Amino acid sequence: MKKKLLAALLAGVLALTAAGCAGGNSQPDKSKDSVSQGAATGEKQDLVIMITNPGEVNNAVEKKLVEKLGDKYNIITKTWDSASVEQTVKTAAAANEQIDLVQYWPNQMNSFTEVGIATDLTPYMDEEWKATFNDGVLDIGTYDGKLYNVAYKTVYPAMLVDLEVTRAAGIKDEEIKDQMTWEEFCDLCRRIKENSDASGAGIPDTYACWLTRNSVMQVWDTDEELDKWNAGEVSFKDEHIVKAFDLVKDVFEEGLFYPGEGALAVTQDQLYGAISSHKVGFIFEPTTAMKTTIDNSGLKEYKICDFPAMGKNPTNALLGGCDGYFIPTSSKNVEGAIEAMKYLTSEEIMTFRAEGGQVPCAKIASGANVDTFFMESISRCSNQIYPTEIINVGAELSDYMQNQMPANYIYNGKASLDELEELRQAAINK
Amino acid sequence: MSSTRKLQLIGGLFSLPALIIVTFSTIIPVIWNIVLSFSKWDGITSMSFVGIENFIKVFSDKASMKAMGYSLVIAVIATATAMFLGILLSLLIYKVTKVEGALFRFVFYSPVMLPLSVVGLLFTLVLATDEGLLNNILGLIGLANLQNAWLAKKGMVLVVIGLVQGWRSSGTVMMLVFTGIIGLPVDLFESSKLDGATYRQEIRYIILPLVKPTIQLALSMCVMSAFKTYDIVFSMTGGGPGDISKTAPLKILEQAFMSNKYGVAAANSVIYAGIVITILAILRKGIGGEKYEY
Repeated sequence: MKKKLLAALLAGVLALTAAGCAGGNSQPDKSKDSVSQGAATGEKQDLVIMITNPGEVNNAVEKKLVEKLGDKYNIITKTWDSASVEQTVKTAAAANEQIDLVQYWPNQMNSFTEVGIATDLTPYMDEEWKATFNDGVLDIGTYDGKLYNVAYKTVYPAMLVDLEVTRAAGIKDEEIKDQMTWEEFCDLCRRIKENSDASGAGIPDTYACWLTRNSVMQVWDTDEELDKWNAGEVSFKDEHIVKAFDLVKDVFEEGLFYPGEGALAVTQDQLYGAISSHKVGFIFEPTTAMKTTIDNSGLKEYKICDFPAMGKNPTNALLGGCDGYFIPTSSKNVEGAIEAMKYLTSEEIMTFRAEGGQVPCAKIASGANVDTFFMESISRCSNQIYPTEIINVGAELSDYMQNQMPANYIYNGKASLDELEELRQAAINK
Repeated sequence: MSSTRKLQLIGGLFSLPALIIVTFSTIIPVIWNIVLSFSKWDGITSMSFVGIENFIKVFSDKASMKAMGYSLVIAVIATATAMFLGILLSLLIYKVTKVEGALFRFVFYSPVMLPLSVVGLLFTLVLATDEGLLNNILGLIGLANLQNAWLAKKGMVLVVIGLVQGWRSSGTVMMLVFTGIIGLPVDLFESSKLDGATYRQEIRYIILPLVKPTIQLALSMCVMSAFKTYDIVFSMTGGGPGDISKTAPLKILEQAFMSNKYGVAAANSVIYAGIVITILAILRKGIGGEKYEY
């Protein structure tokens, strides 16, 4: 019996090991020893950056950074992935591992500021640097008067339309308006589904949350109601919110999204494959990735449409904002990170991004070679981007809304709203 | 000093490096995890003792309980699949010639050599709804009505993950049981043949009862690996869509590294380990019984 008990205990020990490894020092050493040692010995200091998401322009920017600062710093790049960036930075912070510069969304910094993992950049934002940014851009990454994240490009969700698919379904080009209502969009999707082998729309699993995030913002009739909702003052069981979730649930249940059943588990690569094979009419993409998608999929006949309006509020609030950079507190080379950040938001890089089909947040060179029509199509909704969103109320609520919705509402119905309501209550009572 | 004592000392000395590694990689993290489970810690500020508060939080958190339930479902399906397939394959291979047997053993054991994340990634390609190999094969052979969203249907996704993990582990069970079978005395089989026993009767009355300890060992190994459903789930579904395949290890990592609730995560892992230990103890008791000597 003793031997059996010992064997069982040893087995349990194995299961416990994984979580046990999660632990670290209870009081992490925040010293910047490596920096001072490096400086003292004249060696190049490490600069650990995690800033590059897929795309030719982004890769080229990282290359330019290495060319610019490679002689001064030993630049170590870490893979950036939208789904794991938060986890990677927090793990590094808990283990006091060096990460100096990270790309993250300025409007979602609460997941880091709430636990004190982001460095306050206010002292580094001198007047000269500040003057290079477009008006109001720095406010997005400012929390309680402290600047934590410096925005560098505008991003919001839009739709890429494969005109070969829509034409094959008998839809005339003029029927596809730049800005459609949700009903008009659904109607076109139905026509594609009925009249062709293609699906009406497609969205990768990582971006599926946009549908519900936009829906819960646009369902309100006035900005006052929207502000109350965004401040966390309205229940997730409110009839407006239930209606907003139902709106999204219906299109998935109707099979309007690629490939019909299983639409909630479509990866970005699978969607790229479907776009290349002309299997999808409307593709939801961030504006910043539009050019990459067009180039990679080889679409020749396309149009860029705005995110469909899901409500009647004239403001037509849209989620989004910017991509930006921040410095985690686990950074051991803050000066280097600031230097890199300044270069990455300089006129040279901003111009390079604009010429590559992205909408920069800071000044670009006057003679920049920019495709103005394309630029207009991916920036015309910038004024619709709403400064607040319900996800800013709490980190766990944000995680649930971004990673588990709309799937949980579709699978579990109103039980998911109970879970969200608990998270909202916890966040506002904090 | 006697030569036995000397040998014991030398043996102990040689075991020391392994003991040190195990201490630092397993024993200390486990103790640290238990300490953490009674503390509140966000990874940044200092820790504070909170008693059993974390355990109460875990038990009252529906998502954590649901994740444990999902892990249990996957573990049961994976273990049953691995044991059934492994024993069946070993019994089949035992009857083939040496050369064929070696080939079959290599083929059936090869999935074990693949990292779980690779297996997971491979099966996401096989099981994709539109471009997946399985659905396309079903379509080609006229079974389009069986096509499914294998990784995006509530319930179905757990069964699929369980089957994939079970298939992957079946090679280990096969090898263990096969080794057990070839170690059995040949005269037992010869005498049974003289008595006119068929292979099915040999399996029932000779092989299975005599390799029971090996099966018990294989079962324990399977249960332990089946409960550690992290890499394969992460690479196949990431716990989604939504949370329909979010197993306990994924939930624990989320609590620790996304929500910075290291204490709650540690409590969750202690409870989870407790469940695994209990199930193992019940299983060992359940299939223990008589042992034969030969």
